[in-house]
Amino acid sequence: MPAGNKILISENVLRFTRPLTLAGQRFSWHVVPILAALIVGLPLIAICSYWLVPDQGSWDHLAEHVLADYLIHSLWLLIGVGLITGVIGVSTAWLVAAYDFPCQRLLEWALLLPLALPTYIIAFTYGGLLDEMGPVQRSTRDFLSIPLGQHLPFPEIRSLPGVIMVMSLVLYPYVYLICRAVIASQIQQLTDTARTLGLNGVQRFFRVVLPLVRPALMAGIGLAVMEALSDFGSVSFYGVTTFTTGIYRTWFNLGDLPSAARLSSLLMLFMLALIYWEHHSRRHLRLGAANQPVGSMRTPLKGRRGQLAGLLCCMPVILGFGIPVIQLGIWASGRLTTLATPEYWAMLGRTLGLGLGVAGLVVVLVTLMRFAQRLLDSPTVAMLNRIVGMGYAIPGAVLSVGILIPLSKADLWVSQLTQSWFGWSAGLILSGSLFALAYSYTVRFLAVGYQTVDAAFERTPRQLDEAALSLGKKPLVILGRIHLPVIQSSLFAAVALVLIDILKELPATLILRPFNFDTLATRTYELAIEEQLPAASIFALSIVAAGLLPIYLLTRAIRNSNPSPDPANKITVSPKSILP
Amino acid sequence: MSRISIHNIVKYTLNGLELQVHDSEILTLLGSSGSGKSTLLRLIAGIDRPDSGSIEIGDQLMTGSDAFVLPEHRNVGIVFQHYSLFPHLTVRENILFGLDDRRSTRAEERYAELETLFGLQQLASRFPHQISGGQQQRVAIARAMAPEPSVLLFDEPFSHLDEHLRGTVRQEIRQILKNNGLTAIIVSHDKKDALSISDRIAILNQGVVEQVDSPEMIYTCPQSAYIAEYFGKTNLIQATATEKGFDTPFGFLSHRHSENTGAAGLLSIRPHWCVMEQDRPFIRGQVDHIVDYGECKEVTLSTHQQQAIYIHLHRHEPVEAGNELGIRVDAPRLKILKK
Repeated sequence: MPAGNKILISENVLRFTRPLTLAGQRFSWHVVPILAALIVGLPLIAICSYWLVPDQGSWDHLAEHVLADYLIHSLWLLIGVGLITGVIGVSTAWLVAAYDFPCQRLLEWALLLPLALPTYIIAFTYGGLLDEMGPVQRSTRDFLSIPLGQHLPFPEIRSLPGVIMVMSLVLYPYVYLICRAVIASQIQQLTDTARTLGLNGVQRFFRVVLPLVRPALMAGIGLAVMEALSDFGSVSFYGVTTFTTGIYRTWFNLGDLPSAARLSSLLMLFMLALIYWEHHSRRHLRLGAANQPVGSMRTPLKGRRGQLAGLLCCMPVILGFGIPVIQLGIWASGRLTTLATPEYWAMLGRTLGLGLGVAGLVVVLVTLMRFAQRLLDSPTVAMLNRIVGMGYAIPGAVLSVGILIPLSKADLWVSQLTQSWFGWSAGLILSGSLFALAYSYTVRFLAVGYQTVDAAFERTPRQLDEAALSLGKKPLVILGRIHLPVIQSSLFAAVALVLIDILKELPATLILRPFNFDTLATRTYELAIEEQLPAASIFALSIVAAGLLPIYLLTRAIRNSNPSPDPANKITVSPKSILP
Repeated sequence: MSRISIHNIVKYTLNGLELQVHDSEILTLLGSSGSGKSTLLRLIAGIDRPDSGSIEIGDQLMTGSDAFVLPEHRNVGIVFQHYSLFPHLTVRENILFGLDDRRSTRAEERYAELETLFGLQQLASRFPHQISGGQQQRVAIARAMAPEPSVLLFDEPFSHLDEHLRGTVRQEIRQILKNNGLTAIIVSHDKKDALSISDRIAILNQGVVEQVDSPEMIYTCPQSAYIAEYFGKTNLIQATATEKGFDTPFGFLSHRHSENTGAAGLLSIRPHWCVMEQDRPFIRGQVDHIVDYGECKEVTLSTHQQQAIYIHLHRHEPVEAGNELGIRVDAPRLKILKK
């Protein structure tokens, strides 16, 4: 028999036996992605189900009187934050990636610093700084000797434009991060070509960079706007009514769960549109990837122009990080004794304990999910995992409502059961306990953990699995003895990233926490809303300090990817892994 | 006038490089990867700055100790290895990208010219990802030529084309460059590309230009063992020049040459300059093994002088391993290598 035939036969054997050994005997592994999809899907199904339940009267009232406000304010927020983050993000990214000017290397990472501030913290800081009793207006009065009763022509910070401004100051890094990576890795060589064809800097920006960076810009804006719409703390502090404050008010003040659910599902429509927008934009990111990057020379900007570029790039860092952190520091300096109180440490311990527990659970879940995907090699599982990864898009307020609905139903059912069996009611063992909170964190931050672990699995060559399989090892053994040791450091990073996101989370924690359970975030919010800004500052600074860790990790990832000629490397640095 | 003078360039691996390119000349920079060829192109185009040294194009100093003309003002066209076509623009928009007024009749005419020259009819409204690799390359060259640059630079222009297409494209490009009287520098690591397209070849080794010569001279009369071996297999034989030839360990090799008597060093003898000779052979040896290359057979002879000698024979020559064989050398010119 000729050699060619032999090869043909063995290929056929492989083709038929491979699915059998890899998937056929491993149906049990399908449980993991299906379970994960159920965990994430349940709250969404619960919310939507309330459109089927007949309305008890208050929805019509809401729809008539406040829904238009929620809609218009949310739309303005979307447009305003989208525009401002887009302009700041893309212009700083272009300057930093294409030019050399004073402090360029420092600014390259410093521009990420505002990410450490959750929106509610920058909101109350600027609120305290700029309102009528704040230091800015007070010193202006003192300087011009204007009495307190007389109005000063300062724009009102506690307003929709105010919210848009302060939120944009901490959300622009989403745009900056993606745009800088794309410009540096894919577009720079094309701008070199444009130079040899005689185009100056401004022409290059408008005719080459802007058209090519557009998908990245849109994706970044999509992320920033999603954050803005999920925000609850800043809008409520500035007295702007949006969907999130509406959901909170309808549930907490009116106790109207059905209407809260309907509002939530409307907000989810916005979010779905934005997810589609972001994914759609990302698809086009591959457009320019065929061009191999060569270490391009950044054009030196000397004298005035260099100083101007440096100043322009400094502004967002100063406004979005410097001023608020200094103000928080000034407030906190008088309150350092708080750090010595047992209450502070007890609360920190509780927050960290819950956070670590949930983060560990999340990482175990995503590791199993990702390993199942690798093992089963099926597009369905990959798709399930991607859907699970979209949990980050569910705003905390929406998620809480979605979790309260099924959990309170379950509580009721359990209570009836215990009542009829033992004559004793179990109470709110699910919806009123840390379980509900842990559940919401899991759904919301599964994506953060998934992305980190996913990247690590991508880097582990498939031949390792195949070698172990051929040596007769079972999947769990392969996971334990090969993957876990190889991706160990990524697992720790994932735990850290999820933990920090949990520390910052506000709306879900406010709604779902058990009675008398405080985290750093809820304490900050409560004190701020009671205008006790100096007291809030110490908690806020603790959150900011924790938020610096992911930025450090991100900066290191960028540094490491800088000399690398692989453009894909740079895009995997996803801003979603540091979601505030 | 668009000659290029490059003086004492230092940057990365380039180490005091000197090079003169004449007006309307096609010069190929040949060197192994990492030798600094592409860096030199980027320096000439002004996309990068040298640590020291100067570059003049025509009579203008482009890069010097206190002068630097920005790339956008140099009028130097460059065709990148990966073509760098703008993915968001059509073929037509790509080609006219560098013209100031892209809607003028002048631009129309220029496009029509280039379209015909490069055979791009019917592609005007296609996007780069919709055309073939060969077409992309033509668009890249057309785009670089559109603003009528004084100098054209090519970075590995043939590396993405298959062997079959390469020969045709080389001749096309040479024709276009010659018809338009353009000065061109082509960076390559492929000896066939260099030999077939260039007026002169510059060999880059360890950061300096080792030899600049016509393809004919580079091939037959390399100045160093590095260059001799770069252009294919060769026999390097110790020799001392005498009045009528060379003294070698294999005996006396009669050859007319212009060396000083007494000069000693290595001779490069190409395998196909060795011809079978039974009566009065220069080298005698035993056939060790034979490798078939299709167009010829490479025979390795083991000799008493402990040096293996490679010879290329017609495939119909009846040679078998173990045969005793004699050869003489029939070379156009022989020269003692400098190092």
